[in-house]
Amino acid sequence: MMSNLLLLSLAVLAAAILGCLYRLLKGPTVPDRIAALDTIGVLLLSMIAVLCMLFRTTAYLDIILVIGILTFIGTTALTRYIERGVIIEDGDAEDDR
Amino acid sequence: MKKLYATAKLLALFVKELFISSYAVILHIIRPRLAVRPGIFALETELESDWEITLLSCLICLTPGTLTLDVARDSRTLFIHAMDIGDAGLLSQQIKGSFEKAIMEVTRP
Amino acid sequence: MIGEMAIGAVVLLGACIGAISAFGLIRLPDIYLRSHAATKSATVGVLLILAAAFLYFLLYLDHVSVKLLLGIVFVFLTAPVAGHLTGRAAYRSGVSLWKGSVRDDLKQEDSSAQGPL
Repeated sequence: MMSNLLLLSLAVLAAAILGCLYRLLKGPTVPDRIAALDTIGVLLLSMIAVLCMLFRTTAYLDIILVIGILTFIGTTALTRYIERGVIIEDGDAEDDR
Repeated sequence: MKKLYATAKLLALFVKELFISSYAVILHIIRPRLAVRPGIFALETELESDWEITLLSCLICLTPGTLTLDVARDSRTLFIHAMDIGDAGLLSQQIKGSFEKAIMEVTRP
Repeated sequence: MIGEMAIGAVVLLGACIGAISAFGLIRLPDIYLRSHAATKSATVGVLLILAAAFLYFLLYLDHVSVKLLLGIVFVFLTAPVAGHLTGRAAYRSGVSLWKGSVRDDLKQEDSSAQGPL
């Protein structure tokens, strides 16, 4: 019975990811796409948590951490890129705008 | 010991604000006609160190309908985008009253 | 049995909140408002699901999962920062506000103190 609920939640999460995908493809500006990517990562993370519960295994829990970290680093890198054009800046050439 | 208590209180405030704000945002989203009046307002803060301001801006991001956009160069003014800027004065009063006090209790002896 | 159902219900609630925030991401008119939806509601949905998973492993598999706790803390810390970063990047790269916006304090500050970017 619980597995039915979990399957239903998986379907809902998949629909949510599809919605984000629409915004990712269509989004008029670059920050829109970045926000959509961030949300997709977070939803993917929760999908994997649901899968862990569905299969009654703890093997996939590492993936949750990895996806969380990668999503955050990706968001940070992309926003810095569109803000200044560089991702990692030199310590000397600090141009704090 | 007292500091530990203050930290726990700050954490509880974080969680409470997160739930309230998501509820408010969901209400805004599923309303059939969009009834938001967004805008950006400035908030003068009394906090000084970087650490305190980071904490405050994180907390602001979790309050109902507000999002920190930028910090001015002198680190004394936060620019906040509000989803429904009905009364900016009231909003900043609320932020100053509850959050700054809770943060100060943790960081200042 | 009833506990499993309760955990499943919490997971479903979290999934629905995530779906609503995705809907908000589609519906709201400009990036700043969308960022509100993406930051707050999605975070709550994920936190609910992760907490339910933690409880499930704790109660039914007798496994205290430190990784899940770490994941919860990490999502909780990074979600507001990510929202702030997208908002700031949008403003600095010159995305204009929605036409219904009523006020913009940052504009004067930018033009007077820092010059055009």
